[in-house]
Amino acid sequence: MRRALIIVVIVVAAVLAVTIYFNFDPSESRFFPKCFFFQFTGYKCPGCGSQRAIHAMLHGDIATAWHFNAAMLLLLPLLVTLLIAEVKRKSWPRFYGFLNSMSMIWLVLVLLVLWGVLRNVFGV
Amino acid sequence: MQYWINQNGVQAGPVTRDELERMNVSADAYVWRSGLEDWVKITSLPELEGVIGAPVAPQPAVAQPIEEPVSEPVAENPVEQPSEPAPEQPAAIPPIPEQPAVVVGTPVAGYYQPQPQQYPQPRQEERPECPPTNLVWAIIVTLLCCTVMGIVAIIYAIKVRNRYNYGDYKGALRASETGAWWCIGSIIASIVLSPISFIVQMLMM
Repeated sequence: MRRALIIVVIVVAAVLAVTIYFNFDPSESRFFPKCFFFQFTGYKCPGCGSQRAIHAMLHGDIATAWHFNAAMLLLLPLLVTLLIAEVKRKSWPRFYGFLNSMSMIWLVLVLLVLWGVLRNVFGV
Repeated sequence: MQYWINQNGVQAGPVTRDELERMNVSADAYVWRSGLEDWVKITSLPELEGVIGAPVAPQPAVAQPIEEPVSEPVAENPVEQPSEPAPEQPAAIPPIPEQPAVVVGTPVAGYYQPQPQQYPQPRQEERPECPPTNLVWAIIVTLLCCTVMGIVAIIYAIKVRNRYNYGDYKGALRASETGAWWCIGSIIASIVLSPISFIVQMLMM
């Protein structure tokens, strides 16, 4: 029951988000929330540009999406796989265990932090 | 370090090395501890050397007068002091209150059981499942919501695995819950801070 409710909420939110991000361009509209980390520190965070990247991706423009946030594009296949593993955990416990292993989490953490640092150093 | 032991089809655990020493373990028993991929022969673990054929609860003070009961090493299970040194006696496994010995087949204490099941057994049976690491949600909130709190959630995902690998299930569960709260906190923070950032943006123009 509780699980079903959570899934419904996530699906509704996802559909809503896809509709909004497909129809409006975050780089032109002022009503999209800006990253406060960037706003207050002046440095880009690992997630900066993800809204514009999602907008580009929903329009099939992979090159622009890569330009706005490369890490998100790189992590997208992993995220989809992780979601499948999360849902299918009971049937495929080893699959879930592999994707949620210590080394995998460390890899993601290092990737994200490195990306956050390097994008400020090289201005991407 | 805690061990799970399986001898003659009778499984027990978690037990410490000291308890193993008192358990009258035979050399063909299998053990598992965190860090091992699968069950291994007890003889193949160097750290358990001496557990097999260890002098079963040496009692130097048996014949001593009762004046000094404190000096005697207090045995936790005095019942199991063997009256006869039977080499194979699985009944000597101390009762574990939290996690009672998982009985495979239908063993009768003291009898050798013909093994219907193959060693080694999958270890999922006697260990609880690892609590959720929340890794998916942690990555999503790192990219889309409050980055800093998302990173903290990922670090808690590492802690979940770390605690679980050390056999600390309760610690893993706590880390899992804390990590989930950091994910939720990241979402809430981005919802609450968005209007503020919008106002700041307006004022700067």
